[in-house]
Amino acid sequence: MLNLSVVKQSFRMSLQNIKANKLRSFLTMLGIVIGVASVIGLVTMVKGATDSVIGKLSDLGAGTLNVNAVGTALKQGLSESDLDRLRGTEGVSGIAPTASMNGAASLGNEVYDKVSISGYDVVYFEHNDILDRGRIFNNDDMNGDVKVCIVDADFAKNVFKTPDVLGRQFKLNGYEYIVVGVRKDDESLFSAMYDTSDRDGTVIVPYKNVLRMSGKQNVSSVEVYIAEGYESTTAEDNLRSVLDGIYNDADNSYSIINMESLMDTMSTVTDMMTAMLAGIASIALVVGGIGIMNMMLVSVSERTKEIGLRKALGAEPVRIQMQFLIESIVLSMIGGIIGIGLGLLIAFVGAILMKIDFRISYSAIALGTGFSAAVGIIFGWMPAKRASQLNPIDALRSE
Amino acid sequence: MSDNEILRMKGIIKDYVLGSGTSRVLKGIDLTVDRGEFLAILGPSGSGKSTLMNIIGCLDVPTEGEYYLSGKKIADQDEASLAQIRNKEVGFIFQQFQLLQRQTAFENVELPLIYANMPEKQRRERVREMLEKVQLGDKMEYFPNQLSGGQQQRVAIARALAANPTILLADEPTGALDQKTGAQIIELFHQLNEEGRTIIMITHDRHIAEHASRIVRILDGELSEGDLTDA
Ligand SMILES: Nc1ncnc2c1ncn2[C@@H]1O[C@H](COP(=O)(O)OP(=O)(O)OP(=O)(O)O)[C@@H](O)[C@H]1O
Ligand SMILES: [Mg+2]
Repeated sequence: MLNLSVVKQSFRMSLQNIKANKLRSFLTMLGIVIGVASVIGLVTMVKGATDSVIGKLSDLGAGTLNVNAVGTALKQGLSESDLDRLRGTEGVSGIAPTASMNGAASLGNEVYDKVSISGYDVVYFEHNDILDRGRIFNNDDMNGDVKVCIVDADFAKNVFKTPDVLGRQFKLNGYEYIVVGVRKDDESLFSAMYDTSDRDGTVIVPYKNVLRMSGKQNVSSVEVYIAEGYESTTAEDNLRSVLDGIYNDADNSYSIINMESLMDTMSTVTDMMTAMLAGIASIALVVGGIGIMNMMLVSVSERTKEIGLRKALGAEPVRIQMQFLIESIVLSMIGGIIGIGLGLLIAFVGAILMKIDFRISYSAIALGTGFSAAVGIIFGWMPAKRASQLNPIDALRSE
Repeated sequence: MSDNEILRMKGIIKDYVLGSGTSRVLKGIDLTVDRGEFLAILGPSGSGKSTLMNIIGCLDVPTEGEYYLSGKKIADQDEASLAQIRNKEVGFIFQQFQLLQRQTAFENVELPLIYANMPEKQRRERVREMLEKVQLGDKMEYFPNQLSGGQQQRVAIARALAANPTILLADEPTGALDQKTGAQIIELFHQLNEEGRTIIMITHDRHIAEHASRIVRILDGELSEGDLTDA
C-alpha cells in the first residue's frame, strides 16, 4: 500500500513546497530551531561544566580517601602503629600521612610570617604529581631530622625574589632549611577556592618535621589510596571498622571524605539539573510544534484542490496523510538539524567564554533529532488526517 | 445485463441541501454503457452534466439510486476501494485541466501510476509512451504554465490514460480550447475509441457531440436518448 517511491515522492514534494514558501517555512522552522538549539546548547554546556568540575575533583582524589582523625580526649590522632593498621587494611594500597600548620620564614633580616607549611610522606608523591623541578623527598629524608623542603612559586617570588631557588637556604620556624624542589602551580579545585594572595607562600617538608615543629606526637590527617579492583565504598567501610577499633567506637573521633561518592552525588545533582533545563527548553519546542501545526493547516487548506485532484487520481486517504505527515516531519527535522548546529555553536562559544570543557554530547544530538521528529509527527498528524478525509469533489471544486 | 455492459445506473437522484430546502439536480437517471462505446452526454449549462459525471467517476455519491461500475456496486465500497476504482477503472479529464502547477508534465502523468504502485522503471516507460501518444514527447520536463492550453489538455489526457482505465471520462474536454485545438482533441478521442477504449464525453456543444457513436441528452436533471433536433 505504501511503497518507497511514495515516500520518496512525498519527500521531494515537501522540499518543493518548503522552497516555494521560503519565508513562511523559515519562520515556522524558527520555533523548532530555537527550541532544539536551547536544549542542545544548555545540555552541552552543563555537561561541559560538570565534566570540568568532576575532572578537577578526580585529579584531586580519584581512588583516594581522606581520613581526618582528631581522635578522642584520651587518644589524639593516629600513632605509627595505628598507621600500620590502616596501611594493612583490605582494599588499601598505601597511605600517606599529612600534616599542616602555619609558620614563619626568615631570610637575612626579613621575616615572612604568613607561610603555609605542609608535611607530606614519600608515598604522597607517588600519587600526586606536584613537582615542577628539583627532587621529591626520599626515605632518608623522613626521620624528622632532615631539613629539606619543596617551595611553591609564590614563596620563591615573595621570599627569594627569584624563581631560581634550588639549593638556597632560609630559616623556617627557626630551623635552617635547604630548598630541594619547586612545586607546580596548584590548579586543583581546592586551591581555586581559597584566596592566597595575602600569603607569603607554601613550604612542603617531610610530615614528621611538621609534627615536631607543632609539638605533636600523632598525625591526624591521612590520604588513603584504594587498591586496584576495590570499590571506594568497600575500602571506606573497611577503614571505618579499623578506625572504630582504634577509637573504641567513640563518636566524632574521625571522618572520611570519599571523593568518588562525592562526585557520584554531584553527577546525580547535575543530571537532574540538566533534565530540568532540557525540560524548560523543550517548552520552546512545543511552541515551535504549534507553529508547524499552524503552517500545515494553512498548507492543507491552500492545497485543498490539489488534495482533491490526487484523490480523484486514485490516492488512498492513507497516502495523502503520509504526504502531509512527511512534509511536517521534513520541516521540523530541517529546523532540528539547524537547531543542533546552532546549539553546538552556542555551547562552543560559551565553553570558551566560561573556560569549561566543550564536549559534543551525542545523546543531546540524538535527543534533538528525536524531539524534532516527534514534534513533526505529533503536530503534523492532525492536519494530515484532516487532509486525508477531505471529500474529493468538494476539494476539487474549492478555489 | 449484457456481457458487454460496463456501467449501469438506475434511478440516480442527487439532491443538494441549500439553506431551507433541497434542490434536486438529478431526477432519476437510468443509463447503461457498453464496452467500446463513445458516448456523448449533451446538455445546456446547469442541466446537471458535471454532477452526473462526478457520480460516474466515483468522486461523488448519489442521494438515491443504484450504480454499478465494472460489476461492482459502488455504494458498498469503502474509501480505500473507491480510491482503487478511481485509479484503475476511471480516467478523468477535467473541464479545467487540473494539472499540478508545481510538477512537470512528466510528473503529472506519473501521479496515477504512483498510486497504482507501478515500479519506477516501468512507470517511466509508460509515462514516456503516453506523452508521445499525445505528441508531447519533447515537452516532458515542461511545467503546465510553460505549455499552451491545448498542450495542457493533452497532458491531462495522457494522465487520464496512463493507468489504462476501463473508461475515459471527459468533462467538456474542448470547453477551454479554441476550435482548432478542440478538433485535434476530438480526433485523438476517435483514435482512442478505435483502439477499443470506452469514452464518455460531456459537452454542451452539439457539433462536438456529433463525433460520438451515441448521444444522450440531459435537460434539467433528466436523461433522454438520441434526437438532436432541438439541442
Ligand atoms: N455543491 C452544490 N451545491 C448546491 N448546488 C449545486 C452544487 N453543485 C451543483 N449544483 C447545482 O446543480 C446544478 C447542475 O450543476 P452542474 O455543475 O452539474 O451543471 P453542468 O451541467 O455541468 O453545467 P455547465 O455546463 O455549466 O458545467 C446547478 O444548478 C448547480 O447550481
Ligand atoms: Mg459542468
